[in-house]
Amino acid sequence: MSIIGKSFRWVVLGVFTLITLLPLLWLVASSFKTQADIFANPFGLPSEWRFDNYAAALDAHPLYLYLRNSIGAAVLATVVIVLASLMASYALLHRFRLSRATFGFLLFGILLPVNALMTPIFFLVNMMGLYNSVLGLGLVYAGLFFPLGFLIVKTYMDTTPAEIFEAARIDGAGFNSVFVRIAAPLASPGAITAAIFLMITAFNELLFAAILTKDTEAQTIQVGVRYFLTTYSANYPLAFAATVIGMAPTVVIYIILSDRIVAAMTAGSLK
Amino acid sequence: MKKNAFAVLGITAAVALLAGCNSAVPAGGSGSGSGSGTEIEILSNFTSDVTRGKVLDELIKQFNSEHKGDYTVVSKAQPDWPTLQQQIRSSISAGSAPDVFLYNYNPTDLSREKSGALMDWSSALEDDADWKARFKQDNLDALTIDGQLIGIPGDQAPTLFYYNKDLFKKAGIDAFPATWDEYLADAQKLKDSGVGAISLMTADDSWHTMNAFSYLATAEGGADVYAPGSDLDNPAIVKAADYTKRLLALSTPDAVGGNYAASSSNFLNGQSASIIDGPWLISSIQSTVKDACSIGVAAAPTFDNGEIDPGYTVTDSLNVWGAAKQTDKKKEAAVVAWMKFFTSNDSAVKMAVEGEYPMAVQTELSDADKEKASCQMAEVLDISNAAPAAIVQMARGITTDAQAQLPSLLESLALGQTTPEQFATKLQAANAQ
Amino acid sequence: MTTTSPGVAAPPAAAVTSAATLPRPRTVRKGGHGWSVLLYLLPALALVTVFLAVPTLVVIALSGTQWSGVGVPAWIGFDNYVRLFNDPAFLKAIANTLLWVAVGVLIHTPLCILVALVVSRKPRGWKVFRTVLFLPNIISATSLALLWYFVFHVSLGLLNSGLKLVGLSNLTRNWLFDPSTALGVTMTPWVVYIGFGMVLFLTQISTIPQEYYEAAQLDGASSLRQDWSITIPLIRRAIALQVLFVVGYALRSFEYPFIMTSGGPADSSITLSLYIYRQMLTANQYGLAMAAGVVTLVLGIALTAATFWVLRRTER
Repeated sequence: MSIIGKSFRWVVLGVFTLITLLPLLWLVASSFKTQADIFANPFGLPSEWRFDNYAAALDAHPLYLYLRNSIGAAVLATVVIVLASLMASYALLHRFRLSRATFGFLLFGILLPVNALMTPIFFLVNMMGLYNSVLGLGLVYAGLFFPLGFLIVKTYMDTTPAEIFEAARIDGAGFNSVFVRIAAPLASPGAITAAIFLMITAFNELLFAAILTKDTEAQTIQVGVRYFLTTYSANYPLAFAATVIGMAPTVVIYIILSDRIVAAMTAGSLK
Repeated sequence: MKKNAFAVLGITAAVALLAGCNSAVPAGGSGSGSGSGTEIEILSNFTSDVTRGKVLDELIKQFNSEHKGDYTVVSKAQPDWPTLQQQIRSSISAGSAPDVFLYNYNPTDLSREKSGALMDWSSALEDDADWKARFKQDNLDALTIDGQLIGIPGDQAPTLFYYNKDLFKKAGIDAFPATWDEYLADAQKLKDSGVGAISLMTADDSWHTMNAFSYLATAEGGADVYAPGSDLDNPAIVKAADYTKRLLALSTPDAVGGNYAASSSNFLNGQSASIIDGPWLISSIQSTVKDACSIGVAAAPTFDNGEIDPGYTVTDSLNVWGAAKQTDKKKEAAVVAWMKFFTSNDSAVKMAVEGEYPMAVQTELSDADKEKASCQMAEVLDISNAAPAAIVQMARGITTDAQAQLPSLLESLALGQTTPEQFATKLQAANAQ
Repeated sequence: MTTTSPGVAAPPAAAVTSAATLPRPRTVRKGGHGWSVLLYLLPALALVTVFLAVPTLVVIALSGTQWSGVGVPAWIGFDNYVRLFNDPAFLKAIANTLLWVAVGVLIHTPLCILVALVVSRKPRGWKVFRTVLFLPNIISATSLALLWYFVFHVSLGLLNSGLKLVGLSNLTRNWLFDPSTALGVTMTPWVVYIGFGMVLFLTQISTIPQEYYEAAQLDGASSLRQDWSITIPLIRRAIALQVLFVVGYALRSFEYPFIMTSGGPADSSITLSLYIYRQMLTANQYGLAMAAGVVTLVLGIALTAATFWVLRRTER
């Protein structure tokens, strides 16, 4: 391989790695500075490490409550979608009139720009009495993200050889027990992949969280971090610290599970 | 067959949703308190980290202990005023208006007042003549809509110039200017000395910029220049737009696109030399600026053309304490009891002195109270008591459509994409829709 | 619609591939269990009906009304649409959305392919690069938007400080609120975070039989030549998918303009989602917001159909 070609490759990798990491590192470093330090010394490490920026950020707005709400809505949506997807995928293994149409109906949302639906969903949630509740937000996420989770789960379940089900049925297992004992467990890798994907997606959502909630009862961390820029007087170090806090949960999970997450995306690629 | 069933299901739900719109949705979230009697929530921008929030917390504590077992008041605070107003609107649209909430009254947009979701205070006030006498009749009249009194006057804050005397001195300016032309000349000196002359911003409700704009427009065209119903495409608005454009150029670099937080932070940190804001800023001045009394307060300049008497003030909208219409009589009683307590003279004095927040009720400060007031608060009270006229800020009295377009209009003005003349024409068009 | 946005993880490429082809469902057995099947379908049907189908019907039905959120919506026919297409902010939002698509297809996608081609040659430490480059895709767009807001901030920003440091002070500007840069700045994070597209293309590249390259090597083709005439044609399908994601994200882009510029200055970076949000929450024009929603849906369907059409033509 030519020297030029080789160095070009390293330049490409280097540039993109820099673009990805440099702003993040700068953000973390700045989150430990004083306001004056941020202006006077934009690069480099803090001249004095202000760990209390984090304590002050947690004090200024109830970030723990926001995190709790985010996780609550994300878990609720994930559980609902995964269960509904497993059941629906199993049901669709059985052919019936309109099974194609049903499959299409369950998936049509994947092509919708769902933001276009924010106004009707706002009123729908109000009518159901679920405005400003984690339950309402979680259910909306469950509805909006269902097609994505369903597609993942169904793809896995469809790879289960039909003979396994036949064998179970010959052994006398009924409709329900085939699902509980065979179909669902065999699709669990797909379910887990979907769950990881859904958790992250729901946790990171902003628009619907912003329009469907009004206070700490239900507001999520994505809504909450913005308050650091919209209060009486902008306190930049706290805003930096809050941004880091908002990123931390998913980044930590990614550090632990990065192989699982990236592998999940590459796993079934052999088509 | 099944497909039809789904279709029917979908249409039924759609019809249900459509039908639901008429009667405006389910009754509000009424969560009566458990062991502590009736619980009500107060939604305001009085967060605990500012002085008026601290005073509110103290008042609530006092009220709750006086009514132990009967009523419990809880404060829910949202620091960002535009966000708070959006939340209140959407809660009312959602049919779950907050128990008690602070909102800005706008005579050209009575959608909240006419929503049927707000409590009528008239009988409560009629039953208690002393309480009623604490409010200005003008304010009560303004809030009486279709024979119902839909809120209790909260405050009507004067917006005044706060300026950094040290930065003025450094730029070679000895006294606060008396006319806008002098102000612009001084602003140039300030800009040359390396700071923004005035804190401005254009995001959300463009608050600081519209304060300046309102002063400029009224200085040129008199008190009624933008009164509801008047044609905004007039020479005074054009001149105000022209001067606002020049001010934006002399402001901090982040003025175009900035929000309230950025703009006030610039002033408090000495990156700009002046700001036009309400008395709530005093709390931040006292806690942020090292030598707090180096911040002076002044009435705005005029054009010295006889259109308006110097020393007048532009005020925030009348902010109103609204309350959700309650089906639960006990809850209604709790709301009334709280409001009476909150608007009493003792509470109002405490709010003014400790909370830097003058309320729109009779407030009799003793001399000892005045001593306790901060340097700026004393000046604010002097200026607003002596003001020959008080005019509500322009953006508070235009349609929601025009309000939504303000940031965009001001930004194109600042960037030279529209001329002051076009600005006036477009503003009028937006306001007429 | 799935997404290539940072902050929203993407589904496995396998699922994605099948999304484009919609395989015939495998069936176990005909008939029987009629009621059980319906029962098992019920939760899924309920979710889709309540949160996707009904809102779609409602948004269409109410787009012809004037409604401030309280009281009865008044039927005004197509007036909302007339108003929308006379509103410069709305036209700007459509134009910007199409620009997002164009930038996504012409800049973002080629960058994803470029990095995927480099990583697919498995240079030393390629797994680390893959992991690092994918990182932004699991961080919320809200946090990333805040991060880039700070990067481009006029007085405390990383970019302006950097320019001053290297003596290019004359290039510093108010990036976020300069009408010539605002739109580009709100797109930047999305354009430079190539992780999702990279993984998508890597997945497709890994399915190409190694023999193709060996044969080319024997013919003396350079690796650049191999990439151009073997790899790129064979990842056509992944490119089409990527374009679908680009279209989907362009129509939903909200966080970056909302947080970084609020759509400003003078609406120069507004998007369709932000326009709907503003009409709904600031102006209280719910009918108008719904009409804008319908236009967004139609635009989405049209762009998706166009992508499928192009894909079909290239496969012929």
